[in-house]
This record gives sequence, C-alpha cells and structure tokens, in this order.
Amino acid sequence: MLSLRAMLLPSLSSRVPSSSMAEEGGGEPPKGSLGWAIDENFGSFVKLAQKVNAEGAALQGSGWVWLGLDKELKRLVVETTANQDPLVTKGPGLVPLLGIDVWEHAYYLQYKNVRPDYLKNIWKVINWKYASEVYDKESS
Amino acid sequence: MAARSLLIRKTLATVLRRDSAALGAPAAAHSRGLHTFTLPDLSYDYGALEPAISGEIMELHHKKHHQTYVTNYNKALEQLHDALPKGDASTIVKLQSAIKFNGGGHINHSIFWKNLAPVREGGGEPPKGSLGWAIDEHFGSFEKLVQKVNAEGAALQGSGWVWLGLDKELKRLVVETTANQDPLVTKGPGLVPLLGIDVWEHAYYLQYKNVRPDYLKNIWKVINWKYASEVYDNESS
Repeated sequence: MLSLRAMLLPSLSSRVPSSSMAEEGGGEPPKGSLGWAIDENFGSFVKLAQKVNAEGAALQGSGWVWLGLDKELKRLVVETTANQDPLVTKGPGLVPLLGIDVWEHAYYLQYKNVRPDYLKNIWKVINWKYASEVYDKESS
Repeated sequence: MAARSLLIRKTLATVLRRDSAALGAPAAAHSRGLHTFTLPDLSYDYGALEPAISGEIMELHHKKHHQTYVTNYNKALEQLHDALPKGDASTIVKLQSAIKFNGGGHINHSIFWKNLAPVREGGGEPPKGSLGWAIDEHFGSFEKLVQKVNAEGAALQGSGWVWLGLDKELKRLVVETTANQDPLVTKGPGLVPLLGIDVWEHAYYLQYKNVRPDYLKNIWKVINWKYASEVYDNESS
C-alpha cells in the first residue's frame, strides 16, 4: 500500500544509491513501502545494513541474521537465530523478509574466516523485490 | 570491595588453571595484576598432519581462529578487570558471554593442538597402558569408542566439540558434546577433557566440504594418545 507521500511525489519513492551505500549495503535498494518502512524503523538503508552486519558478525557459532516484520507491533526488526531455528522461534508474530545464513559453510570456501567480508558483499545480490512482496502482503 | 574482587579473581584463576596444563605459554602478568593470554605455539608444522588435516586448515585454524579467540578473550578480561573494582554489575554480567565464548575457544583449541600429532611422532597410535585399559572397560573396545565419538560428532547440530572425558567423581570415561565454544566442564564440574575434536565447519570445510563424517574418520590417524594418557594418569591418581 503506497503512502500518500509516495503517490503525490513519485520522485521520492526511489532512492539514489550514495557512495556510503557502496560500502555498506551496495546494490539495488528496496523501493516503495518497504523502503519507507526501513527509513522509518532504522533511519536509513545504510543503518539497516550496518545493524544486520554487526549482528551477523557477532553471532556466536552457527545461525542466521534476519530482517523481519513484527505483525503485531507493526514494525521491522533485526533478529538472529541459532543453528537452523526459524525466525518464528523469536516471536510468533515475526515474518521473515530477509535472512542471511552465517553458518561457516555459507562463506568459508570463498571468504575463509572473514565473515564480515561476506556480509559486506552479500548486499550486492540481495533480492529486495521478493522482500518487498512479502512485506506488502503481510502488512496489508 | 577489594576482597570481593580478589575472591572473584582467585575463582576465575582456579577455573582457568584446571585446564591450563595445555594452555602453553605462561600468562603475561600485568603490573595491575591482570593475567592475559597468548596464542600457544604448535609443536609441529602446519603441514605435518597431512593428509588427515590440510596445512591450509591448520594455519587458518591456529593463526586466525584461535588467535581471534585469544585477542577477544583478553579484551573481555580487560573490560572485566575495569568493571570489577567499580562494582559495575551490569557490565560484569554483560561480559560473561564474551568471556565464555572466547575463553572457551582459547581453552578448547589449546587442548586440541596437544591432541594432535604427526604420524612420525606417534600420531594415530592407539592408547596403551591405563587409558587403553580404561577405554576397553568403559566402551568395550577402542573401535567402539571411535564409533561413538564419530556418531556423536556427526550428529552435533551447528557448531561444537565432541569430547572423550574423565569423570573424576564417578571414576569413568565419558563421551560428551558441547555447543559452540563451551568447555567440557560446562557439562559437569568433575569432567576433565582428555581428547576434544573440533566439529565447527572451519575445522574441516576447506578439505572435506560438507562431509563431516569423512573428517571424523580421518582425524584418528593423527590423534596424539600420549598426551591424553598423560592427562588421564595425572587426573585419575
């Protein structure tokens, strides 16, 4: 559901990648309602990427780092889960929009022990179209 | 306040000393009374355990993974050292996760390097003497022990370790697993690690990919039973 602002000022509903995005979260960032929600909940797309990367790097052992929608509180959250625990184990109202696997098998052959480099680079191939679809469906 | 922080420091020191036989280089003493830790050297070359474990894995595992645990352990201990005399309970409690994870990583890997030896230095030779007898007594045979360790190691969900331990209270050998970098003592205060096998993916992935069972099958070729026997004899007398 497009906000009134997005409908009246369509030029604001797409964001131009800045140089800082190339460092953290580079790639085709989300537009539309998910894009606005990210700005609202985290301040900016870059801040979201920084938060996800920090939590993903700090995860002890094997697990996942998630961007989720809390359907009850109507807000976006960044969460981690251990091993193969699905996001719903952190709260029954949580819907996964984006999950990044930080098990060593997800990156070791290429990035060796340097999980932060994997996290920095994965944003280049994140499919925000899918995350936006899920967000739009689940937040209507 | 000073007495309490001394008590906590002594308790920490006792726990650390128990497993410190394998920790190698003596702790560096600060003038402020904080002991920090250093990465222990291996007593063999990185490539000396091939083909069971590749030199590439050994180097990354020691120089990067273990070193990072040491660095972060020291950082957490410094922060604890500052928070204790202030009575900053919130910070003290917040640091426990980093201490357990990184301290556990240092303890576990220090034992692990001693658990391995090149073939030409006795790696792979099954245990003789009292530990050999104890293994037969508790597991039926050496082969049965290996099967049990491999089964539990392969089945471990996520990251962790599989251990052969001595239960000092019940005077028996046990096979246990721990998650992440939890030391064996977290499974029971009377448990002494004799042999630990790292089943984190970084311990085998470059060589064995996803086939953890192949790594487990092969690592027995470089297990240093002389060390495990020494620990067993010391702790069971």
